[in-house]
Amino acid sequence: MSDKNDIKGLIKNYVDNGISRRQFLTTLSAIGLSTAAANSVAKEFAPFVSRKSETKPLPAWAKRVSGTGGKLLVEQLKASGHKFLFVNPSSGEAPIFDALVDESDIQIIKSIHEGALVAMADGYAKATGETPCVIISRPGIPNAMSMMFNAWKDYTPMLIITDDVSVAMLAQDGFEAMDHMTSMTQTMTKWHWSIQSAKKIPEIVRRGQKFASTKPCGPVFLATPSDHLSTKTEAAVIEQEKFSIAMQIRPSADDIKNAAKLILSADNPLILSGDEIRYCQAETELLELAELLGVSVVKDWSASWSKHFPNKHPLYYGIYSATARFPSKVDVLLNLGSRMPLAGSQFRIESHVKLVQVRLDAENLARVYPTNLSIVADLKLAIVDLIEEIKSQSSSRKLKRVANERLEQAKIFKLKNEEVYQSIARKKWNNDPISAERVVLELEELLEKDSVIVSDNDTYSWPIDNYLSYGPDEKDFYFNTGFTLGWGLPAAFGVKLALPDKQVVSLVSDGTFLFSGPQPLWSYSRYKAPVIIIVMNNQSYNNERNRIMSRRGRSYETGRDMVCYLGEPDVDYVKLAAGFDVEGEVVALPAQINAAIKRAIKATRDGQPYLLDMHVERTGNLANSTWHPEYSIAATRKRKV
Amino acid sequence: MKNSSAYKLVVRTTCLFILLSAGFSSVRADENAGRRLYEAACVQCHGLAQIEQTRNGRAGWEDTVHKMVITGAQLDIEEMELVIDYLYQQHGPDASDPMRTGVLPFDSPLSKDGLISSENIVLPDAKGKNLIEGYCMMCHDLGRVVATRRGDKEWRGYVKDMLRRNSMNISDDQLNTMVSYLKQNFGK
Repeated sequence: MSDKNDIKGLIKNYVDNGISRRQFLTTLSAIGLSTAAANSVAKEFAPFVSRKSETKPLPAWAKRVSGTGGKLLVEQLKASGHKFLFVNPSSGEAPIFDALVDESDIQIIKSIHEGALVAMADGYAKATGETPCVIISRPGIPNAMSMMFNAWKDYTPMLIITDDVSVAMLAQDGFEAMDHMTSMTQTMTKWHWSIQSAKKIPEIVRRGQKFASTKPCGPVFLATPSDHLSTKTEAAVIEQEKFSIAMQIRPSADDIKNAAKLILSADNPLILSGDEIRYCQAETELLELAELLGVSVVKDWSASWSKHFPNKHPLYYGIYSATARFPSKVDVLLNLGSRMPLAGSQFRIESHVKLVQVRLDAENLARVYPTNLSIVADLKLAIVDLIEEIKSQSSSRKLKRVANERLEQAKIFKLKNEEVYQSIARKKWNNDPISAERVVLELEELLEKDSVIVSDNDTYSWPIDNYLSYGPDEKDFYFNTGFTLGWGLPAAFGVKLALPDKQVVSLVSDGTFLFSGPQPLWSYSRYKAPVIIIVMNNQSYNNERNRIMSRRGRSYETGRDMVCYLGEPDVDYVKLAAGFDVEGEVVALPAQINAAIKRAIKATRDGQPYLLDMHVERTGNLANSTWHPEYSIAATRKRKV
Repeated sequence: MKNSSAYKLVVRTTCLFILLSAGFSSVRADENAGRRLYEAACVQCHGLAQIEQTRNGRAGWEDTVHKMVITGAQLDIEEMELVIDYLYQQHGPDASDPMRTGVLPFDSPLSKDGLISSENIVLPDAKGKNLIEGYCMMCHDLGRVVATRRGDKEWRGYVKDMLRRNSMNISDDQLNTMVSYLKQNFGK
């Protein structure tokens, strides 16, 4: 043991706790040191020796976990409150699945497509307010990104985790690999990170969850080289709540005073409400504010996935319009938690209108429109303070008088509005093919009062908006504002997973169904998700065709729908569903609707999903066209192969 | 009045004049109201050019206005009818100013010998030609008819919808004749 390296190795072994002090002294004596010299050496190195036995106990909210990186990941996800893992597997993630074998607190939810998986998690997050975790393979990232765009636009909290190639293979452009993989997701995530060691996995997962779930929320993307998942180590797992931020920011008293003053001085104020009302659970307060002032509430057509105000209330007008006939001459617009109307190079708010905005999202606050008063705050707190301030600045008698005057006007308008909607529906009641208005009214009659509609149906979004009743004691509604199609079917699964005791309806068009494909039905069938799936089948991208034709270009002149007809092949959605062991039926005539919906309701009560292939009318320009540019690859062949 | 017949004639003429004047004023008033409502409700979301390039029967305009009201155009029932009437009056079937196709696509049935403008189309002689010319050209030129080969079911759908939108009642025989003509000459 006279070799210098051997002595260094001995000392390292002692310092790292590989051998005891007694063994260290014995070995030093064996190489010729006196007992006094050996004791002296041991004393010199004593301060550097790791002292496992002297480690302080951890507090109750933390625990030390040993195991693979996969095990640490699962343990941290548990500590972060995850009950479900949304998974499409990769072999590199084997240590995660191994760790789940003996884990009873987390349920795997599998989808056979990463995009559908993210949409399922998105629906789950919207229905619960939780931050779901999605685990995918690295070649599945582009698939997942299709629906991450929707999650990003809707501020949906979500963790998306993948396994990268092993450390040894990084930066080699090898199998299923690309450089800076996480940066692919940069523009649609709040944070993206590549985990540097197994020991860091719990810490980075906690941080990712913190970023994803701190309002304004959004998706976070994490990648970990696969060898980190299999490396055995030890790390602290800490309860997520120690890193949670409520973000209940109270607005300043001065801002609230100024806002109240502006609103009270207005002749025709108007409220634009948005999804931040839902995120802050401020629906009740919004209703109170609107009724206190008799102020109408609108939303922007492209900026809202949730319902924040009862749509049958006389003060609800639907979609914002800068030049609406009623309420007209708006002089103060109060934006409570909404993206603003599309502007482009021309603002859609009249220049004389004073704009007051309250948003959680400081980045998007006063982003486009010149704003008189910008307030970053929790919407619930801001509205509560605003109500109090308005009451202090004005007498209750005056408030009541003004509110009643406005409310009476609103009731007249609303009544006429309802009459005109009903009159249109009546005229289309027996249309063959079926009108969307009839389908929606039949649903209004037959569905549970508090059912949940999940839809990314663009063509029929207006009837769905106008004919169904939404509100705190009525139906609820989930949409998305990214408009990446293929979201509706898988998102409804996620909503049902979150709300098993609610009647859930997936109301999709044939176009949107085909974007997700039937793949989500695999999860419906595997996990017995009793959802009523209605495919509004008109064999067309109906809105797209109408927008193309509205240009009055060559397509319109010649009557040629070049791209929007979806027939030939006439997709059989009932057969598609049957392929996944999901029952369904075709509804081809208006008289069949009622009984078919009842059968779907019964099937879901019995615990099964049920699909209705609803043959609805195409509307607008070239609605009758089935022509499409024909091409046959078979006909181009020179060999019959 | 000594001459009661003359008196009656004067009274009747006066009443008729008053009634006609009132009716005329009423029509004008409705037309003005319809125009104002059309301009107010439709420009909330879009320009008017696409509407003004279109020809449609009353039922056709009713389809359009219904869709727009569901989409957010703020009109009550009476106002909606005024706008439909206005659009029908201003942009209804008009054989003297139909929607125009221009040059036919290279692969249209009549473009075998080179490109042809829709203004120069001569339909093949056969039973049904007169019906096609009579009905179809009320809204659009013949380019729309001959630009594209369509299947039997598609032609039938087009003709039925065209007649419905224009509130035209024809016999089943006439309908079948039109479809048969279109299928024979411009079918797939």
